[in-house]
Amino acid sequence: MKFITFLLTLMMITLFSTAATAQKTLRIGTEGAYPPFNYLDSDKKLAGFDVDIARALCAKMGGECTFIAVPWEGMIDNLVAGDYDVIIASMAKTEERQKNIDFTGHYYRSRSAFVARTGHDVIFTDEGLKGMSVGACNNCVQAQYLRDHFSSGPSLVLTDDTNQLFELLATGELDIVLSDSLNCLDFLKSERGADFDFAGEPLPSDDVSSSAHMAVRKGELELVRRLEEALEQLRMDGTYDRINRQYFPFSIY
Amino acid sequence: MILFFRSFWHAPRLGRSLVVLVLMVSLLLGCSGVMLWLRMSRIASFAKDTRDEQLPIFLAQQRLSNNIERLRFYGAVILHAEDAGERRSARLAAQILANDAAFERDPDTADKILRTFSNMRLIESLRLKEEKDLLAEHSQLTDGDDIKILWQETSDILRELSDNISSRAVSQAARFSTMIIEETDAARTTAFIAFGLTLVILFVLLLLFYKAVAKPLLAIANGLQKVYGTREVVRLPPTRLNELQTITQGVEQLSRLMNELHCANTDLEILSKIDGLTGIGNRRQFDSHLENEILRARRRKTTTAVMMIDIDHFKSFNDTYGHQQGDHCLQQVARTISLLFRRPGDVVARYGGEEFGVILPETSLAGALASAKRIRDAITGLQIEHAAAESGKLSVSVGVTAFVPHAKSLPEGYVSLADMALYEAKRSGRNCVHTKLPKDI
Repeated sequence: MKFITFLLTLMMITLFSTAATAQKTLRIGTEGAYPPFNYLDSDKKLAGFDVDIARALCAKMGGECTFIAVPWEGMIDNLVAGDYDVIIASMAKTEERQKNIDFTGHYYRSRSAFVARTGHDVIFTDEGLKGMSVGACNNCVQAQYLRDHFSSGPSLVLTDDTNQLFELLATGELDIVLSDSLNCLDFLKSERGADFDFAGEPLPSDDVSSSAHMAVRKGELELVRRLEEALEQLRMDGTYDRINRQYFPFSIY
Repeated sequence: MILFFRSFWHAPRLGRSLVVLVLMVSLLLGCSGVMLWLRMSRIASFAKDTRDEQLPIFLAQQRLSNNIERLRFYGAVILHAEDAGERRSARLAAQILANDAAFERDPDTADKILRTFSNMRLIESLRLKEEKDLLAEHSQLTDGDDIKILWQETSDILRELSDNISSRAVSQAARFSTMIIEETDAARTTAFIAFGLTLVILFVLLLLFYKAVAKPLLAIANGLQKVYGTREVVRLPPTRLNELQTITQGVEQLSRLMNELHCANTDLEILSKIDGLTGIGNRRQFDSHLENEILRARRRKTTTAVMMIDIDHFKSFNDTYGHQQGDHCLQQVARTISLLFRRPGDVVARYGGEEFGVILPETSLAGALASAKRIRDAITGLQIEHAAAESGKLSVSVGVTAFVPHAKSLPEGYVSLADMALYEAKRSGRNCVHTKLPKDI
């Protein structure tokens, strides 16, 4: 009798615990202002490469997902505060960020590049940029790059998101913008970007800005493992390539 | 340990040998198992390496060649598209693609890719200029040739890169499958050798077991059968194993003992059938022989003759000459009678005090009568002085009978026939022969 009770208890515990893991929804934080990776579509719904990859990951991990759009500025603080469980927002893995959060392996790679008006020849040194205004998004790796490399020449302009950045470039308030090359491409292909072009060389590929990672709260290595495993499966079964093709004409992994 | 083996070698015991045998076989199987396991885990780790390391490399190479193909596509768009915007889009995409980090792993490839991109950029600007010139109606076709040359070069570089990558992928795949095949072959060889070796050693052990245990055991079993079945002294081949040697010696001892016992028995039997005084058979021998002879004669339907011989007036001979002379006389008579019957199967025995019995197989009444007369003559021929006898010499009376035994006849019947004949001979004056046949009764 005691044994049967014990068995029943054991079964109940197992049942509940599996139910608990299955029921737990994964909350995903993203920016929603970084086309074509994450942006609000015409219906004001989150869309983009990051969002689609996140949805596919959820499907692979067998749970439900909810998305929360957060300004870039408070993205990490809100994760740490527990507003959501994962950041999938084309975030670069920097040493400073790693102090507060943990990262998965990269889920795409793309180098950063400068954009300027077509025919505008620029020499990318402090001297060459003297008197120009160069923009990047605030708290971005690109902003850090500009601070590290062009501290004395140009005047730096930092915006909350890249949409504002390109707006300023189009209106002529900025001379040069530094952002992710795919993000830049989105602008260059748009109507207002017709008179602009890539300028100079892209940032070196070993710069932290050249790969995007998912981020979780410090120490949640089990979640990191599950995310990486799911990503590996997406890559193997072709889902990743399908999503990739939808946004970019070539593979960006 | 050494001591153990030394003692084992010099005085091997069956129990220890079995333990060693089992240990050796397990060791052998264990060793081959471990060898196979090692091989197998090598193959497994190879397969794992292929999955964990090679697969990503293959994927990267596939991606690389896809990107090169893409780049070529953009080049074609830049070369052929009518719309300048379309050409610009293609060139912008090509710019990002050409700066892809994946190309940078190999500096030579990166250089070539960047070269193709700068060619594309040149083609774009040349085409733009061409269009402007056409609008301005300055028809100069030299640029068109430049574009063709540039595109040819670009196209060649991209094709070469693409070929290199795919051939590298193929050769890598081939190398890996070759390695796995080699490992599998090695594993198969190992398994084959291990299995073969185990088989051979098992065979040798079996042979040793047969020689050391099974064969001696068989010899012991045969020896035991001989001990109980025959009277020979059993000799067994020596064995190395202690326990078996003990059994072998036991069987040999038993065999010797049985043999001695048998000899003693035979002596006793002989002693029990011989008359101590005269050295010829006694009454017991006479009876057992008669019984056998009657059975034999009944089977073969032959005639057997029986005689009873009695020394005449022997009581008074004893009284007159003393018992010593009497014994001497008995010995002489016994010797004389037994010398007359040399055929195998003839039996002369001392039937009682001074009475002798003779059994003559396959002898007719006539033959027996003749023999009886010879006995009588031989005794008188001895010329032994006997004062109480009518002739003054020692004489015998003989009763003879001859018969073909029938189913229900008993030996006693024939003896009494002979006795009756003897009685008649005594009554009719002694020193003579009388006969009595079964039908006379």
